[in-house]
Amino acid sequence: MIPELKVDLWGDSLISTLLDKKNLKRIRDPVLLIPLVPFMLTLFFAIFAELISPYPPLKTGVGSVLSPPSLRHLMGTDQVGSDIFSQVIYGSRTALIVSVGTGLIALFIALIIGLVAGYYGGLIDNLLMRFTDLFLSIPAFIFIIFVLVVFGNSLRNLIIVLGLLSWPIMARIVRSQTLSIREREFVVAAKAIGESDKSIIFREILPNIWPSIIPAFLLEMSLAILVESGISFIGLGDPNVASWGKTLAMASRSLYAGAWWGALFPGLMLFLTILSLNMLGDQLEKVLSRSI
Amino acid sequence: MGLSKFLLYVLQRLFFSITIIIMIMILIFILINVAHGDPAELLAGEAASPQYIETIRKAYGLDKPPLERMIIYIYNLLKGDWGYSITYQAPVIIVILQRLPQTLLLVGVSLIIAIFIGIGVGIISASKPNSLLDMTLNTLILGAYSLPVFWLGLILIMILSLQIPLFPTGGIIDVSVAISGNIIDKILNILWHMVLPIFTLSIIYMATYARVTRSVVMDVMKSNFIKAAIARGVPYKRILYVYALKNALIPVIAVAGAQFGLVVAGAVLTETVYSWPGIGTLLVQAVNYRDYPLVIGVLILVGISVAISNFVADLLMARIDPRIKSRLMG
Amino acid sequence: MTSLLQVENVHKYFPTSFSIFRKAKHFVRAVDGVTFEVKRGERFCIVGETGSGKTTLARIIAGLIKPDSGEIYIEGTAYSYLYKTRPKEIHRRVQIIFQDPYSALNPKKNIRYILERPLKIHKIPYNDDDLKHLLELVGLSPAKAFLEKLSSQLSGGQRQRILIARALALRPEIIVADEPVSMLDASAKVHVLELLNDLRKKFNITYVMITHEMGVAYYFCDRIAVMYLGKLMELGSSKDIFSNPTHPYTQLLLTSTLPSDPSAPNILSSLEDLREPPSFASPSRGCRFSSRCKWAVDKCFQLEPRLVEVNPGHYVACPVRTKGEWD
Repeated sequence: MIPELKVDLWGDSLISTLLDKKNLKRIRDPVLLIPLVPFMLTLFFAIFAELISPYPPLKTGVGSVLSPPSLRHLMGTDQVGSDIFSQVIYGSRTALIVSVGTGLIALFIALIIGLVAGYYGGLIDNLLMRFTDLFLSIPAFIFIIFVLVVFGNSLRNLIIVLGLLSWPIMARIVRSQTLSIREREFVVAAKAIGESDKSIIFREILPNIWPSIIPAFLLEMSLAILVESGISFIGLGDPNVASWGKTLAMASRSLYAGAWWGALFPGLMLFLTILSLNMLGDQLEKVLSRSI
Repeated sequence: MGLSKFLLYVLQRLFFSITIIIMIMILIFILINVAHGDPAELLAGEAASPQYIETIRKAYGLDKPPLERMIIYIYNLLKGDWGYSITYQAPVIIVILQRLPQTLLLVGVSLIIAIFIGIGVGIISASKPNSLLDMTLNTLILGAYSLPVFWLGLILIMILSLQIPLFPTGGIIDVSVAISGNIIDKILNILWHMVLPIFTLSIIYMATYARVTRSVVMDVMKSNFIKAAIARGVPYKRILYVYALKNALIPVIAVAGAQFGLVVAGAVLTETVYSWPGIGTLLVQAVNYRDYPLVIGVLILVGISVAISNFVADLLMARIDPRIKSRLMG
Repeated sequence: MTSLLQVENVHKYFPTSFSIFRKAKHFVRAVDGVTFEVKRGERFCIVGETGSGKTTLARIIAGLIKPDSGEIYIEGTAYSYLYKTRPKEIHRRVQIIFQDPYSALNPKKNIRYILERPLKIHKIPYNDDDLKHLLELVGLSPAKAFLEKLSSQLSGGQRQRILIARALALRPEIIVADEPVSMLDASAKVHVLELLNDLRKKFNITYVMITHEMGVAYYFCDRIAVMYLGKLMELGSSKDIFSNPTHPYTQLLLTSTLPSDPSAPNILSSLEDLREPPSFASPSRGCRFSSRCKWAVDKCFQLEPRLVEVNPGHYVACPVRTKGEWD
């Protein structure tokens, strides 16, 4: 007897979608590769922060106050003498942790709700969708502020509450994809050989909806980075980590002194990362929807 | 349209909106109580004396069982008693209402501009799909969509206020004009202060609407109805602007209504960057001073506005969206 | 031959519109009181146009849809009983082959997976050789090469054989074939029908075949049931139906499809339009076929005709033609 591999659900679906020869050729398309660059840079910074960063990001007084970009401080310093380049590097890590963490939480919840609602339909679908609608109506940004104020502004809290508020968008996509796959004959065929519902959902339907989930995940990530930076900008960021939003907030207080570097560099990094994730999401959506 | 069915729909949507508001209030209540620390201390503020905390506890009935507390709390909220702001030493609801007009001004004008320009750009982009114009516009729209609103604000201030002193760096009105100007001067001055914040906000809002419009119009243009009209000889431009516009309006309103959270977030951040004295800056200030009743008050206000905007959007949709219309007509 | 499958007065309705209170107002009567028997080893065909309810009936027999009323017995055991006690047994004994080989296989799975799933679900021990044997039985060789391929890499005819192999994996007693060859070209049709017949002889499989192609029915079937808008119009052996078609609808089907020389095995054609396509729109009284029937009399529009035995084993539901009694 050939032992069952749990990898089944991932292995021959997600990875095979990405590595499928047809898709690989499309992925080499420059339209996809160009936006990949800023994101790769962010990823690089995030992983190798300790090796690249010249100074500890939050340490004050490593340079003179508000000095413009120089060889010692590639992006200048802020008004307490911290190196901005280091902040940008470590900020990448924060951005990535938040975006991936939020994305995974949202994905997990969205999959469960979307698959169940789409597969079973009827009353369950109705109830779950009403539930989803209610969640969608919560003003996310303000609510996150409230939660961080009440529970403390740590990164972990932010990831949890943002994940709990972002799943509805993905859930809708999962559900609509489930609805369309459910009608395909191989799903009926699976029932005809006696597959259980759970089995059908995870072995037949889920592997076929990955192509639509990946772009949604990327867009989710970009939204998370945007929110995190906004939260940090108004002062509710995690005090122990560097964040692009925080750096920008510091910079906003010293704009009058003409310190343009504090606003330009972190902001540019933030903008380009978000832009690249959005572009990737858009492009992948076009590419993968053609290959189904 | 069947009047009774329409009324039924209105009631349905009203019920839904009220449910949202109540649900948010319940959520707030639960979270306050689940958080570490004594809710009475939370509401009384950090520098409160033990007697004040006791007063708060009695006032909010915090010594009573949870369910009763929740009902009292929600009842108070609905009555208009939103607590007392520590930093302003005034009822929360008064403080909020004082700041509301400035935010409404900012957000209202920005939304209107954003909807018009957004739909316009979306239609232009979709009119020649995949042309150079379309690709350029699409990239710009995507760029605007990815822009962090506060960064845009900072850059604009840097360039247009500091480098070239064209616009003020913040605030709503110059103190000098506020004191000694006549009404025309005051209005002009405020308008001058409004330019940058509105420009910033509009760009961010517009990006979403343009994206949605473009995708909807591109889909509509592929439909058989349009192809038939073109074959009949109806001028392309007319098709575009009349029919495409009607179709674009529907999802844009849907998005505008449903994604009110984005509108609010944008407002908060823009006000913060430009020091615009509205609800956004009020919130940030309350957060930094740990004035919890005020924070909660703003949250409830936002919750109510979300419910209202959803409701209004739903009603508008019922009037224009043919699918819903036909469902209602049974 | 003993009776293996008994379909008794099966009804299945699908709601099409709802009142405000969520109760269904209008229905599509996909299967409206169908009764027949299939003997072991028999090749039983259900013929009719698209929309006659035959696919729904097929799925009910395959255990995919539960009927609203009526019962199905397999060797005397009721489906309703099996649903409650041993639901998997229905699938073990009754398998189904679908019409579209492109959509009936999960594009992301390889052949090995497709063939081993039924065995795993029903906890039947197997090894690689068993899988290869299945492939050889349906004429796909070299079997080893096929096992690792993705279903999306195969041609239509090959996929159809995989469908048959999968249905065969559990050695079912009955195979329901829902238009198994309608999407294949003429020569592939013949090959697949011959394959099905071979398998029948090897494994004593009973077939319930659904088709709208009269030529296929002629080539393959022992007994034929003619279905229209959810009801049986005529039921009889292949010889009865083709040499003595009694019901007006049967005659209509045959005259518009079969070529003048029915013994030519390669000419298999499908149904073209008859006056108007049937619709389940409003449940009408009287005979379902009355609106299109040229022999219809007043009573046809008021009373529903019953199936009446005009010859041993040959049933017709048309008192006008059988000069029989109304219900």
